[in-house]
Amino acid sequence: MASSAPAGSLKGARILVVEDEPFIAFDLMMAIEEAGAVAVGPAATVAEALDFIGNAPPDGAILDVNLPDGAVGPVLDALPKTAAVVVHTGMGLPPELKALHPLVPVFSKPTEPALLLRRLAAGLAPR
Amino acid sequence: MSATASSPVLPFRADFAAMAENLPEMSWIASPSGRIVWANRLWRDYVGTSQEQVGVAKWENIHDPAHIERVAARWVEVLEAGEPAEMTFPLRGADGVYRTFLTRVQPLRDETGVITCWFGINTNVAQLDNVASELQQQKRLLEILNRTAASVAAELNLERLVQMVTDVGVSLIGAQFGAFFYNIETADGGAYQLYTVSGVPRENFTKFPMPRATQVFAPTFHGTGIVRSDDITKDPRYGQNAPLKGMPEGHLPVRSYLAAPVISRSGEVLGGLLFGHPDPGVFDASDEQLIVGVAAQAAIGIDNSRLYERAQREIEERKQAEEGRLVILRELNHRVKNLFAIAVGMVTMTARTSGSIEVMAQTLSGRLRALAHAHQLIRPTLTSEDQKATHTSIAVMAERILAPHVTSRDAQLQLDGPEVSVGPNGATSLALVLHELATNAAKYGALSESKGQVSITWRIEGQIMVLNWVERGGPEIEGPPQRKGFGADLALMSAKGQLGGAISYVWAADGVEIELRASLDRLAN
Repeated sequence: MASSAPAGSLKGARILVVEDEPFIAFDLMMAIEEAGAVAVGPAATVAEALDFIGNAPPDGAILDVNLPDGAVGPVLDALPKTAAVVVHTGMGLPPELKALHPLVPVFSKPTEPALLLRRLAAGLAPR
Repeated sequence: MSATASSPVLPFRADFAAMAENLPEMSWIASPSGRIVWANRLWRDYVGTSQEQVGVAKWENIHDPAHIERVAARWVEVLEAGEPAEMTFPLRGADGVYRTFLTRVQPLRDETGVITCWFGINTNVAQLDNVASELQQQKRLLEILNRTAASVAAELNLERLVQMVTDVGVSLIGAQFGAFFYNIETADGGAYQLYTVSGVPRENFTKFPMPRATQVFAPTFHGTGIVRSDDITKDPRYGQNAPLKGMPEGHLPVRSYLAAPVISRSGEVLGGLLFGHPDPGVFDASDEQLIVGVAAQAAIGIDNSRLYERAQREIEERKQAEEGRLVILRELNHRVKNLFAIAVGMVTMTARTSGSIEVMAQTLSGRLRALAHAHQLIRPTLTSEDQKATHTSIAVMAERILAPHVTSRDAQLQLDGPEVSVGPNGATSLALVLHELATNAAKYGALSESKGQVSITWRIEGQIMVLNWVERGGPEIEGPPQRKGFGADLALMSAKGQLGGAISYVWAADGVEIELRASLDRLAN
């Protein structure tokens, strides 16, 4: 797990937002900042998300599934194994991604940002 | 009569002898050992012999070599049994033709019971035989026709059906080849498509032009009647039409010709069945009747197959329409969920960035209206079964979004650009960007004054749409705004992320100039 994040808390954790809807993206960004974490992004496309991850792997991520340049699969693959991840989607995770990432929690849009963050915090706790 | 001279065994009176001589049935008398010693006139006339020759005639001369052993063996049996008997075998006539006879023999005995002679009668059953074999043949043909009817009824594939019918026709009438020409009407009023051939390889026909409705073919292809000819090359209708004047060079040699139209229940001529043989006089009236039957069955089969195909097509079309509707429903469902998600984000984001409830309410309702405009404009795209049928016009969208902020449409708003394909997602993004720009213009820019103007022009550059938003006549601008608002972030993210383009601002003194670039692919999405 990320050294910068105390167990079970988001304090200081770097959370990547991958979301192409600006209102939702900025809402999540601000919710992350309010929780004391560092919001990274927002990345509106898979390409942008991969850039952010390449620059500095985040401790966690909130991911939309359908992005203008394709499904979020490559982002899931690129994230560090230790990263806490939640998927926030209107359509659900496609079967092929679900098969590859069976344990990733999936939340249906719109879900209250606080709920997503609590799940992320739990994911950052020692396992 | 001369018969008496050579008939010492005859124990009859002269009048009985005369009766025997003149019996209207071939009759004879044989010795106890089985040798014919006397035969009546009919018998002698048939075999072509005289009474003198009867007694010395050789069996080989009148018996069919194929039957002679069987007949001899049977005759020996009968002689030994000494009982009346019947047997059937061919006898050669004076004309050299073997005909089948039913032969009945009866022994005559004296007072002591000793056989004195055999009395025999030959009844010509050749004609009965012919009738029987004719009946047999008719039965066989009827069976073929019946089987064909059943097969044709079961066959819904047009090509197989037409092949089957042609094959059956050829075998029924002993044609050397047959063809089924399926009518395809062309604009110039002729030409038929070769569909199937039987008895010969297809190549025999492929090198020739399609038959036209010449004098020979017209009755068939116009459905006016049967053509049967013992020798088509001698038919008055043959060879009348330029340029070929008859069969083309290298055509299969046709002398005997039989052709029947295949006519639908609706009266439409579906095609023609044509049969040929290189020998003359091969097809007779019964062949013609058979082909009429085959053509009728072909018509039923083709009608069935067409109906079936039409039904299948309609089922397929309905299925596709139904699938199309399901796709639209799913798309709509997805879109509604997405709109709610955007609306929720919009509410919380607007709340975060608004100083007061009044400002929030105003900002939020403006944004929600932009969403509604976008949806209104793309509705035809969403509900149309043809996904490409309609697309949102940028001019209409800009006009709707800017309308609340202008007092005089013509004086303040200038819109110009080509038609651009904008899909549901593209429309939402574009509408929200235009809304943020319009809100800014209304608050701080050209549209904050009644004489202010906004010019929106767009053009296509390769795969990119470039939209220029130029404000004039507003308050003088001193430079970029001190604090970048959320609206600017929103516009930037929409332009960059969702529309795959960019947005840039030039803060000129007489008004802001904005360039929005958007990928055509993303706009159309």
